[in-house]
Parts: sequence; C-alpha cells; structure tokens
Amino acid sequence: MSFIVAEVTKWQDSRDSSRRVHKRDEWALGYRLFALNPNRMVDIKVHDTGSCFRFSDNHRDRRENLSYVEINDTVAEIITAHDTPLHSKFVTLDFYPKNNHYKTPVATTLEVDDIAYVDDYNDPDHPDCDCIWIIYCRKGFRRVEQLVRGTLDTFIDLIETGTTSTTSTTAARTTLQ
Amino acid sequence: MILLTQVNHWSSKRPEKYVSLEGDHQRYELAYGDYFFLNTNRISDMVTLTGGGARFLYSQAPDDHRCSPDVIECNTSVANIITYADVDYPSKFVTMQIFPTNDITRVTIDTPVNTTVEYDDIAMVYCTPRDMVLNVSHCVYYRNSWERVTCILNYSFAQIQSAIASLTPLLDYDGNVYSTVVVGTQEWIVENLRTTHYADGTAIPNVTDDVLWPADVTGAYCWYDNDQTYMTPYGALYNWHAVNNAHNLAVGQFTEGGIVSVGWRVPTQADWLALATAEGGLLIAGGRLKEVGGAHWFLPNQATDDDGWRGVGNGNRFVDDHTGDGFDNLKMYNDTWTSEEDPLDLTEAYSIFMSPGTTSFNFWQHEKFGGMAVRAVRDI
Repeated sequence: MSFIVAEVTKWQDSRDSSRRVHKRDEWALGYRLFALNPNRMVDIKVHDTGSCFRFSDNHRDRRENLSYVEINDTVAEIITAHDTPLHSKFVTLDFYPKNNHYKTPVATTLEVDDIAYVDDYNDPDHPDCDCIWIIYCRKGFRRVEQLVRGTLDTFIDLIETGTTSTTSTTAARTTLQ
Repeated sequence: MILLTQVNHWSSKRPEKYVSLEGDHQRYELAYGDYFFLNTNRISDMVTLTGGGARFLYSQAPDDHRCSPDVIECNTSVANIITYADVDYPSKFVTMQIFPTNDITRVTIDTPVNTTVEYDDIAMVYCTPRDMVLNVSHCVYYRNSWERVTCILNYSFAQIQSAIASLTPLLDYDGNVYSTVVVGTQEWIVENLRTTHYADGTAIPNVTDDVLWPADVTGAYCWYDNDQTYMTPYGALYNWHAVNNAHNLAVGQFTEGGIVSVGWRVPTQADWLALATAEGGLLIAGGRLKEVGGAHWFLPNQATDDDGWRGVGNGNRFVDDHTGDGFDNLKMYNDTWTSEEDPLDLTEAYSIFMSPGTTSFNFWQHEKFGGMAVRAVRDI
C-alpha cells in the first residue's frame, strides 16, 4: 500500500486546521498537492473527472470524525496506489525537533500505515525550504503534525524503494586442473 | 513481527510495571533477565540510541485511544526491528495452549486449552520467576480494542523463543537477511557477509581511499568499486584485520528471532577443506559450490550449484591489482578469507578462491591488506 500524490480541490474537516486547501492554492492552481494514505479512505466515489471520499486522520480512534475530500485523481489511480507494494512496513524520516527546521533533524522510524497524509511545508517566508508536514498517529492515542525534511516526491521514493533518487608482492594465482 | 529483545527501560502510565529497574514503584523481578517478546506493530517514533539500541513508543492497545504509549529502550537495533517487522509469517493466526485460569498457583492442575489468536493482537510475552519453575510464560493480548487479557501459556520461554526463531530469518547487526545451507556437518550462510558493523556494534571503517586501504591495519571494509549497489549479491570486501578483530566479525554477529545465533565463525582452513571434501574433493567442489549462469561469473562458467551454496565472483581489492583503486576480477574470482594467518609469514593470511573456467576449489594466501569476501559457518 503506497500513497497517492493527489490534487486535492476540496477538504472539509471539523478540525480548527480544516483549511487544508489554501486560498492561494485555489487561486493559483485550483488544487493543492497532498500525499494521501489510501487506507484512510472510505466511500470512494467518482466525482466529475476525479473522485471524492471520506477520510480519517486517525482510523483507530472511534471518536474521529471523517472529513470529506475531493481530488482530481480517479478511483482507478487510488486503487493503483493502494496496490503498489511498500519497500518496508517502516520508514525512517528526518524529524525536525519541535517542528523547527533550523534545528538538526533526528532520524525517526515509524510505520508507514500510521501516516495519514503528507503536506508541503507552507511557510511563505521560506518558499524553497525542502520540508513536508507528515500527519501521523501514535496508534490510536494521538494525532501528530510533524515537520520532516524532504519533499512529497522523496517521501514516495522512500516508502516505495527505501531510497531517494535525489541524493548522492603476492604469490602467483594457480588453479587446480 | 514478534521480536525478542532485552529491555533496558520501560516507562508506562499503567499501574503495573513489567521491568525491574531501580526506581520503579512496583518491582517485578524477572528471572529471565529483562527479555520480552514485543510486537513490532505497536511501535512508533523509533530512534537509534547511542550504543546501537533503539528507543520507541510502544502502544500496548493500539486501537484504544485512551491508552497512552509506553516508552521503551531495548538492545535491538532499529534496522533489526524493521527487518522483524517485515517478516511475513505463514499465517496471521497462532494457536497457543492457554491455561483457563490465570491463577498461577493452580497452573499445575489446570488443563491447557488450545486457543487461536491473531499475532497482531499480542502485546507481549514475558516470563516471571515462578513461570521459570513451572515451565510456562505470561502472554498479554487484546480481545478487542479495550479488553486486555493476561494469560498463562503452557510453554517455557525457551520454547517460545525457538518457535519464533523458526519463523524469522538470520540477520546480521545491520538487519541484512541471510539464508543458510547445510553441507555435510556444517551450516553456511549462503550470501557473502555484508555487515558494516562488528558483532558488538562497533562500526567497521569504510575505507574508500586508494592510499589508505593498503595501509590499514585496524580493520576496514569497502564495496566493490566503492559502489554500494554491488552489496547484493557480492557482499562487502573486508581486509583480514577486520576478519581477525577483537570486536568480532562473525562470532555473535547474527541473530535469529531477536536472540544471538550461536556458533557462527569465519571459517578456518579446516572448515573450508571439510566443505570441499563434502562436495567431492578439491577438483570438483568449486563447480558444485558456484552459482550457475553468467549473472555473477564470466562465461563459460562450469557450475552446478548442487547444494545452493551460491558462490559468486565477488572480485577483490589490492589482491590482483595494486594500482589505482585496486578493485579487480569481479565475476572472475570469489576470493574469500579464512580466519587463519600464515604462521611463517605474519603479513599474510589464508584464503580460498574459485574461478568460472574450472570446477576446482583452491586454497591460497595473500597479504592481510587485501580486500576479500567473508562467509560464516557453524557446526551442526
């Protein structure tokens, strides 16, 4: 089960941080890119030329309300992503302590399936910063938003292949015959 | 997915404490040390500890939002934990003999009942001093997200250890997986060694420099052409100082089911001779031990690989070519060290090699700075 990098056009969530597709994304492109965990999707349906579904940030917590998501990608593409094998059940990512990208990142390993989705770092002061937010769950207990070094592409590379493509006077010999 | 590990620290908000560490408000002495079987599917936020172990959050009830995760520090490396997590068991379920009562004082008069549970539901298995006396173990599993069951299994800790070991592969310190083959009275690892650490966790220096490699006398490894993509299937090239090192390259290097797999060593000349003899003698053993085809040998390759020993032409460094980077003879020779030096010339140590054009198995020797492959063997 891999992740799908989807063009999300609408994401309605009851959390305070529900504005997941920013106004400037809507103005600029009409969508925002997220890497989504297909395991968290239910009720997937065709919507226009894309698809829509309900999404759970923490599927282990029965108190969790499902959000509503519309994406430009098709149901078939979601299924393809779901059926793409992972390199390993675990992935090691560079976590920035206290979500501060000026601090030295710490290599931290977690289960891929604990990650709900991945979002680009969205600091207008640092538009070129290679950071992503991963939203994951410490099992059923707590939802965590963590700043991580990398991009959506390197994240997909890591979970699918385990690596990122963007980095860098002797005796004579005789044989018995 | 079940991991046997030695726990050094376990902090939990639960009232019961499992680890007997100084300062715990409720001590629980464990005669079997502080070894636990843990389930890798309960782990998150895992980081490497100084010294090679791992620290992680451990959620005993991962589907219960009220259950805050414990903090555990153990001796197993992050790489090995990941490898155990990726092991696929033949079934998702396991049938265990469970005593119908948890009253340990009545264990001896109870009749155990075969009970099938999902591996995923098991939180931990441990062994108390009284369990040791009665040859039983404690198991904690969850019937659903909130119902925690602590039961007594009709198995000793050693029996469970053996059962889990049979489901999990042989790993080196880095978490690389090895298969094994039995030839005669010996068990050999099938792949060339590719660990970058000694058995005690000390990192082996990766010497890529052409000048420093022949000068090294403390132990070093490299990948052929300094290119890690050669790691599989050729393994690493080690100088003999790494083979004969106080930190141990093979002894204690491998684990099975989370415990050290004993008996492994770098083969002596006698071990290699026993292998060749079991394969029909020096004239034909090479053919019977080499991988067939031209993927990892030059053609024509006289090979039959009768027992699946899968010798490959790993080449060497500063053995046949003492100029430039010193790498030479990939797909031509499988130069591999023995653990013995030449007593008459202490600058050299013994090795073996095979080549594609013949079926012979050959003993040789070379200066200790040469880079060659390493296999491990143990008696059965």
